[in-house]
Amino acid sequence: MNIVAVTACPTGIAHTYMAAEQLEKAGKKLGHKIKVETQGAMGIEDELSAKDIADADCVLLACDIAAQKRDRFEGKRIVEVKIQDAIKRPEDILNGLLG
Amino acid sequence: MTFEYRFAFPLPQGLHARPASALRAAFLRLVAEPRPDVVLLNERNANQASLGSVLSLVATDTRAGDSCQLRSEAPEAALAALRRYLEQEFPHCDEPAPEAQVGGCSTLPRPVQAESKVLRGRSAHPGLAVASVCRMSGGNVALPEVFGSPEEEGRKLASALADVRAGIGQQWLRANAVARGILQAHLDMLEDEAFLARMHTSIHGHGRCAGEAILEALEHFSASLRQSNSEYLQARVLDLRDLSAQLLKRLYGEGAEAEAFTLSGPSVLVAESLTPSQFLALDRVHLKGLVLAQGGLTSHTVILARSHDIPTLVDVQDSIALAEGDSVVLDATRGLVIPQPSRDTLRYYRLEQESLELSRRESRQSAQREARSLDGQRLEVAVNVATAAEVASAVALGAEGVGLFRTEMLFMDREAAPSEDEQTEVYAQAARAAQGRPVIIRMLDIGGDKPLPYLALPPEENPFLGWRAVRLYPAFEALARTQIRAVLRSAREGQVRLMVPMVCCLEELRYVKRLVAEEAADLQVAPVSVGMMLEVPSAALILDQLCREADFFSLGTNDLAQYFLAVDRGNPKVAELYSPLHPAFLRFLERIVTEIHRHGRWVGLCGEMGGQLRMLPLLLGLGLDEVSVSAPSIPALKQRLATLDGSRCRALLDAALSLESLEVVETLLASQAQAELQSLLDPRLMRLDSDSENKDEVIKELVESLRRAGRTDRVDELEEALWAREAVYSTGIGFGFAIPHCKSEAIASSSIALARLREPVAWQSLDGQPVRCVIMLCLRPDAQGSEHMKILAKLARKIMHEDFRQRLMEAEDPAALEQFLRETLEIEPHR
Repeated sequence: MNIVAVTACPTGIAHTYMAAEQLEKAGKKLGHKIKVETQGAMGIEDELSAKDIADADCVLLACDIAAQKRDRFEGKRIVEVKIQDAIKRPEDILNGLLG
Repeated sequence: MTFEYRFAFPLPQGLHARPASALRAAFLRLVAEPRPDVVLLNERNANQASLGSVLSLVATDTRAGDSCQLRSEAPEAALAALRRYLEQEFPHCDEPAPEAQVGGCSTLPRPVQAESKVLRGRSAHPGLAVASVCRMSGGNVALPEVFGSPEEEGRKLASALADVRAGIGQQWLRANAVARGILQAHLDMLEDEAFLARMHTSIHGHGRCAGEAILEALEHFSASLRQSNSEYLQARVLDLRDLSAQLLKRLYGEGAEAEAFTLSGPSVLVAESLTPSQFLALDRVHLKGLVLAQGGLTSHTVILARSHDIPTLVDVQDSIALAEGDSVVLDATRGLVIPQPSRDTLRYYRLEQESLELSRRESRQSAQREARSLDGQRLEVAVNVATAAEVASAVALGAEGVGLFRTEMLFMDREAAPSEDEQTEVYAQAARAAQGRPVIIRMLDIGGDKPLPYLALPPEENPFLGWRAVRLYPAFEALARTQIRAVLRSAREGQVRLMVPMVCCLEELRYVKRLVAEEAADLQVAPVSVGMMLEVPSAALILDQLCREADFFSLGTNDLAQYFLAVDRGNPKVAELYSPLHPAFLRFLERIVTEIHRHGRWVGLCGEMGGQLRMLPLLLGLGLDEVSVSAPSIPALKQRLATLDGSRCRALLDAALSLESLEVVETLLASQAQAELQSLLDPRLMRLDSDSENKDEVIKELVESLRRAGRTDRVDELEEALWAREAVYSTGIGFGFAIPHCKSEAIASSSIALARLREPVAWQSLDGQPVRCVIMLCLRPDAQGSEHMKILAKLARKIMHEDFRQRLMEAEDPAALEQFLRETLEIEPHR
């Protein structure tokens, strides 16, 4: 599966990056292609390109605050989860995307 | 009216007892006998008073800015000295207003929020006390029913007055300087004409007994003081009550008011109010804090408490809730009293107290270290003083000498110049207090702007360019010789040096050196080192000649910059041009220091720029031997110096010398300060065996470690920001880890702090498990997107890896942990 994801948390200092790390780790383990954009105190990093989004099967938003540039994902299948869940059980979340 | 002088009342705190005493003293000193009556008229409220009566003066309710008149039938000439006093000295006779401390912080410390009873008050002096409540209440006076003839009662009163005066005299001997000022005001009140006259009339005119006369006078003057809107004047009622109580006690024995009061153990004293003499009678070993239901921030009792460093709250509502013997926490910093505190509250405050004590100890230790830069460049940090009494406390703060002893104070506000013996004693006292450290005594620097009655200097158009300092000595040679003899005689008590002010040519220095040589020969002592203030630009161009005569130099940059830039910094129209950071002035300083060193002489700096932390890199770059500043600036200056690199500062100075404007120099200094931002990591922020018992304590402990490392001085605000983040959802991320974090102005530099806990602590974590390791991340709001934030983001990702967490738990000591983090996060070592 080809997944693009965005993580964002209230202060943008910790959870944004922890969740990104967890999702990337889980994706690798489960054999999915995943690219995670972080929207934190470093600004937007690893920004998803139009092609990344067009190629993706699914958009995963792990955000506790409104994601920026959300209109990029219009027409795509979007799954929203709590950022804490992305940290706590990233594999479950990725498996859930299959269903 | 033959004499009429109008003025706006100059003192910010109004005419209260101390300035009123000073005014009366000046009146008695400066107006010759037979003394005419002189009246102060307040035009705002039409109150008036004779200058001979402190109480009447106080009762005029005169506030800052009130338009006032001095009036008298006496001829103008008789009052000229008094008028000069009012213009020149009176405006400086009071202490600055106490800072209004806002009692009650916005949020209470966490464990205090759970307390059932918390009292609030206004903080009169900050600090923390954990002790038992001791209540003090005043008794009532029972007046005798039978009493003597007016003559007898008059005699009784006179003897009570004499006894109380003698008692105050006794207290004086044991009192500190602040207490002495207050006792003096009390003595003046006891001699107050209006007060005495009122009592006299009561006894002789109305046939009252002595006690009644006292109470009636108390009531009368208290009423007029209470009427005033000024908190300051209302607080004076306490002084009157104090004196009346003492008088009654003398008249009718013990028990008239609160008798001798003993504290049996560490106590927080709770009282409706407390008089200054009651305070002075307390056993201050056991007195840990004061809680007053009334009081005000300006009462003499509060001033005394402050001078003895006793945490004090006033205007405490509900103080009745504090029962004798209760354990109590007095948090006079935040304006709180917590009776019967919970275990959590006690632990919280104990933690804070230990942390504060630790940092006091650390700062005392670092104060005593030799002042050097990070790379070992020596720059002595000395103190500027105006009295010998200041030297000891400055040495305790870390002064490595006295770089400038201004002797003008010794000569001012008196009828004749101080004698040789008196001066010798003062200089010797300074030398002894300096304990072998050098003491540079500057000869009298006085001119037409500060006239002395015994010098009769003519008024001048432009005293700063006039007949002053060394230029006066030939005309007043006896005065100069006396001072030189006193300095020479004091030299056996320490390392005393003599500095000549305002030297602009070689002859002046040679002249003073000749006097020194002659007096030394006469006294049969060795001459002292003689140096000069460098404050007149002309001196800078003859340094080759001056270096042959002067043993040392001190740059008086305030005047030097004014003369050099031709700017009167008191003139708002041009004050903007005045700055020692002017590139031209920096070049000037650089040439002076280089030239003096080329001739092998020592050079210090005693102007205000020495105390400005942001300018320190430039001063270090200049290669000065010493910088002399006011005492309170010393610890911070030494600390900052220890973080600077001498060769980098030299490069910074070189860069500044080639800049084209003041603004660009300021920008350069600001960017330098930015570049010096501390590393995110510091072993002092790593606590590997924390015994904190709960989340409150862990956060408090880490915030305190940030405070001790100099990274925050706003602990409450920082804690609040961390808790605000916890309120969104817990930062317990599972695996026994929590990462509380915040973005806050309260952190001086972004930081990582870490605590490994002996016992796991509940943190409402994602996996419901308690936490064993807490990593706190504090980011400055302006550090978004910065190098620091990049590292924090990397750290957040690493925490998701088990091997990383494992290593954090296994590191053996703070240094090893810091090293591991530094390598893993690829942080460059702190330069």
